[in-house]
Formats: sequence, structure tokens, C-alpha cells
Amino acid sequence: MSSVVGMARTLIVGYGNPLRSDDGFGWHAAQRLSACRPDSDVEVIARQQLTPDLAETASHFQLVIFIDAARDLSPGEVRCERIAAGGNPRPAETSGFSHFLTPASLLAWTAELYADLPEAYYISVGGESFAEGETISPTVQTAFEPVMAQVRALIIQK
Amino acid sequence: MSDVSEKTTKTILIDPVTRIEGHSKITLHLDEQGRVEDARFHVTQFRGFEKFCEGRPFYEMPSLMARICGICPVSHLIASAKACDQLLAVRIPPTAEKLRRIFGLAQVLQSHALSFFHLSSPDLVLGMDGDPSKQHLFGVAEKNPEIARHGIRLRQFGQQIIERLGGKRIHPAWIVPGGVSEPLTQVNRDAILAGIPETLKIVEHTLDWFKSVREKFREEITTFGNFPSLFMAITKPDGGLTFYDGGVTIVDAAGDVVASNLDAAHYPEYIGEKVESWSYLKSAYYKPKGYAEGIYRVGPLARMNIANHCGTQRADQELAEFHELQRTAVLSSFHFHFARLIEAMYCVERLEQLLTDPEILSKHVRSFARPNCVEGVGACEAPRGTLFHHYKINEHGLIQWVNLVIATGHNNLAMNRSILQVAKHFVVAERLTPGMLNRVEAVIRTYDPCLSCSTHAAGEMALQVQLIGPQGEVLDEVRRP
Repeated sequence: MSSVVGMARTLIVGYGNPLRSDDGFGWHAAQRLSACRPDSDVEVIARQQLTPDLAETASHFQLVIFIDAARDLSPGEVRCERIAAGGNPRPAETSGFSHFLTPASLLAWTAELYADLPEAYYISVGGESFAEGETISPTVQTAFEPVMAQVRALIIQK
Repeated sequence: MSDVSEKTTKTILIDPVTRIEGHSKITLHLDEQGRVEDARFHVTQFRGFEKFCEGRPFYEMPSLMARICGICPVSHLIASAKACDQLLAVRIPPTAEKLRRIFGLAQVLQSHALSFFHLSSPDLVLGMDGDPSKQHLFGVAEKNPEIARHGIRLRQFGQQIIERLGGKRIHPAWIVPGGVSEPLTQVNRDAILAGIPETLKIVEHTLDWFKSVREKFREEITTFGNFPSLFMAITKPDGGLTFYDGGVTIVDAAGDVVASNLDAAHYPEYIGEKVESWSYLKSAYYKPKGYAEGIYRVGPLARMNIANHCGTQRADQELAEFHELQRTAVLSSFHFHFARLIEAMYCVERLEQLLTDPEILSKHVRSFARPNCVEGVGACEAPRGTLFHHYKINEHGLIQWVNLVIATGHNNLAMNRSILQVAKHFVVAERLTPGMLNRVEAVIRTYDPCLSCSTHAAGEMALQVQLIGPQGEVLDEVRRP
């Protein structure tokens, strides 16, 4: 895992629980990206969940890409959205325990607390199984290449 | 609470699988006149670590035990490794002990930051009667962004130390029986030291800010767990503050020493554990006084009441101020907040002392041995209080029996009494109000209970408050997701 923070332009945060099968897609994607970073101008972080300290970390970058698993997509389907920071936090985010945070809310903190709003994207991949397990379903594994390509495209575009 | 049944196919069905991330509920019991006459804090989750570790090799215990908690895994690592050190009958290298202390201090720092800034600062910044929809860290960020920034940075600093030493922030396995697995590198040492000045300023600023708002909470100071009790902590032989090693000291409400330098390994001789039918959290008590007269408190409030010095300059100045709050022991649980901040100051100062120790980069950080004893007890001060791990193994090194006495259990009786005190003072009608609910929660928060051990799936810490009439009927119920 890369540790924070230098003058790199791009931050990639892959997150999810690697002990919950496809939920760990983002975490595994970050591991792969760490092993073959497009260039040294990129920092990669693998996390089990988003936490408030990442708001400070994100303030040091021009581009932030989040990678996560999703339940509302077909297994292996990839979606890439530009993140608009702000809006009201979802109820689970205000439970006081900081175990649930969306990329949008995280970046809203970045803007509010650190007066900085990087360009940001949220790449999500449909999961098939979220049961206990350390492997990614075969169908979902096919999404690794498209996700890597998407990340490369976003970095080049920036 | 789940019904558990076993099918003939040996499939174990747990139904429902509740999201047990810190789930608890509070019941308030009213008399015929509608006044609160009893209150209970129910912990409805069941973990079972003491049972499912049986049969495992002892050397797996630190890593297994770290999974108990996502917030204070390092304390479990330390207590577990110390118990395993006893099983090996080894003396760990001096540098390994110092590195374990650094690891522990970093964890106390990040945990205290979580408690003060993330969980309790909404009460302090927005007020106990603040808009419930804003009563969270997002609301703090709107009202006082500097406090929010400081909370994030302080916790980040502690977690980054843990990550630098242990390889990851949560559940690192760097502490092992006999020492630690890897020495500290100069790069990591220097990087941590570079963050000390900024962190000291943050803690100093937070202490000043807290003292500036404290008087607004005079009524809470008077009613938040403000009662006589014993206090317990591990201290150095000279009565100084420590989180790693020492004897167990107990003082009474007057601040007089009841027992000192007790051997942690002999805790069953002076600590009893009672199980109540309405909670999975055991209630610990001081045996010589019996249940429940032997009520005591642990954690920052107890440590500050017991310690006669911290051993670092700025923390000692704050400790002197703390002791001026009351001629006896400081009794109100509201002062957990102040005590927690003093400890945060101590952690930062002590980290600097340890990191500049000439031996800290030594490569000799682990002792090796086979099991030489069949029983071991490890104890340390976790962020929330004294922690005991007690293991028995067989001749093959397999775990036969485990007992864990965790800080929140030590505080269980005190938390229940605190809820009752707050409810009696603030609940004046049959109808619950948001301000009343928040105060009942807030007094629990002062103890920083660790109900939320290591399960992260739902990410919601639910709290349920029930108002129960004299016939046992539920008059009102409020749930906070």
C-alpha cells in the first residue's frame, strides 16, 4: 500500500472488504494498480472503507478516483461517474461512527475544511457475491481490465 | 438478540443476523408516579472470542485477538502478546518493549481523537439540546471547521504511526510473542518525529478550547455520573502514568489508595465478573467490596485520578490542573473528556521521548522460545481502561481456556448508574425529548464504550431508548440510527 502524500497529481482510492468476496473488488484493484502504476505521479491507497482522514489526503491532489463494488449493477458491469461534491450526508454517514462515507460526502469535507475540490470520479463494479470469502467471482474478475483502462483514460485525460 | 438453532444437517442457523456493530439499548423503568426508578444499558451483541479461540495454537492469539476491535486492536495485541510472553517465559528485548509502547501510544492517541472529536464534539460544539439532525461531525464541520480539521489530523497522525510500524492501520500483526516482528527504520522514525510539533499544537489548542466551553456544561458536570466509586488503573511503581506495564492501583472516591501495586496476573483475586440476564456485557467489580458495592471506573478519568505524575512536561501541568477540580478524586464522568485530552498530550510528548531514545533503531527486537508455562496473563491500559488477557494452554501449545476482561466491562456498573443519574435528573415527563435522549447517550459517550468491535458491514451504531411503565409496558421508544 502506498502511503500518503506527495505532490502526485492523481490519487486512486480502491476500497471494500477483501474478506467479503466481491465487496473487496476496489481493494484488490488498488493492489493491482499499486503493482503497475501508470507513472510516479499517481498515489494508490487500498482501504476497507472511506474514512474522514481521506478528506485531508484528497486535498493534496488534482484528480481523485474512487473504485468500489456496487449492488445496483449487473455482476461485472462497470460504471464511471463524475462526482459532484456536496449535498446532505446520508443517514448512515451521520451515525457518529464514521464507518460509512460516500465519495461525494468525503469530497464535500475536502472542499469545506481544506478549501480544495479536486476533480473526482467514482468507478463502481457490480458484484455477484458479498458472502464471506477472499476471492472475486469469475464474472466480476473480468471487470479488472476495463477498470484499469478507465483509470488510465481518466489520468491521460487530466 | 438472535435465536440460534442447529439443524440436523449441521447447518447452524442464526436468525436474525443482527448488525452487531455497537448495538445497544437503554431501558428506563418508571414508578407509579412516572418517575424514573431504574435504568439499564443493554449490550445485545455476542462475540464469543473466549470460546472460539479454544484449540488454536497460542502464537495465533495476538492476531486473533486484534480482530476483537477495529478501534483498539493494538491494545488487544499488546495484552495478548504479553500473555504469550509469559507462556514463553521470555524477557523481550528492551527496544521491542519501547516499540510496543510507541505502538500503544499511537493507538491511544487516535482512539482518543475518535472519541473526543468524532463522537463527543457534536455535543460540545453544538450543545446537548442542538438540532439532532446536525448532531454529528458534519455539523461540527459547519459550525467549527477548525475543531473538525484538528480531529481528523490528530486521528490521522496516530493511525499513520500504526501504519508505518505495523504495515496497516487496522488489525496490524506487528506485535508478536517475544517482541515485535520488525525493527523501526530511520525513515519511519524521522517521519513520525516530523509530525510531533503540529500535533502538540493541535492538542494544546483543543485543551484551551475545551476549557473555554466547559463551564457551559455545569449542569452536565453535576449530573453525568457524578457519584462516589472506586477507580482502577495500572500505574508505574512510583505512581506515574503508564499504558504498558506496572501494578494495579485502586483508589476510593476520596482519592485514598485502597490497594496498590497489585499483580495483574492475580486479577481473579480482586476482580469479580457478574453476568446479568439482560446484557452480554459482563459487570466487573472489586471483590473485597462485593457486587455491586465494588463498583469502580477505569479509563482516562481513573488514570488521571490515580496518577501522581505523567512524566512529561505539558501533560504534568494539565494533570495538576485536573487534580484542582476536586479535593477528593474527580468524580463526574463528564471530566473523562478533560482526562482524555491530557492523555492525548501525554501520548504526543511520550512518543517524542521514545522515538529519540538512542536504542530505538536497534535491530534486536524479538526473543524466541518454545512454551515454558501453561498459563499466562497479559495486562495493559487500553484507551478505555485496564485490559486483561488470560490464557491456559496444553503441552502442545494449544489454547485450552481464555478469559478477557475488557475496559467497557469494568465500567459497566458505572455506566448503568450514570444513565440512571442522568435519567432521574433530566426525564421529567413520560415523553422523551431529543435533548433528554442526547444526554443519556452523551453520558455513555464519556466512557467511550467499545461495543463496536470489528464488524464493519452495516456501519451504523444504533441506540434504542425505551420508556417502560410500572407494569412493564413500553410507553415510548426512540431509535437513533
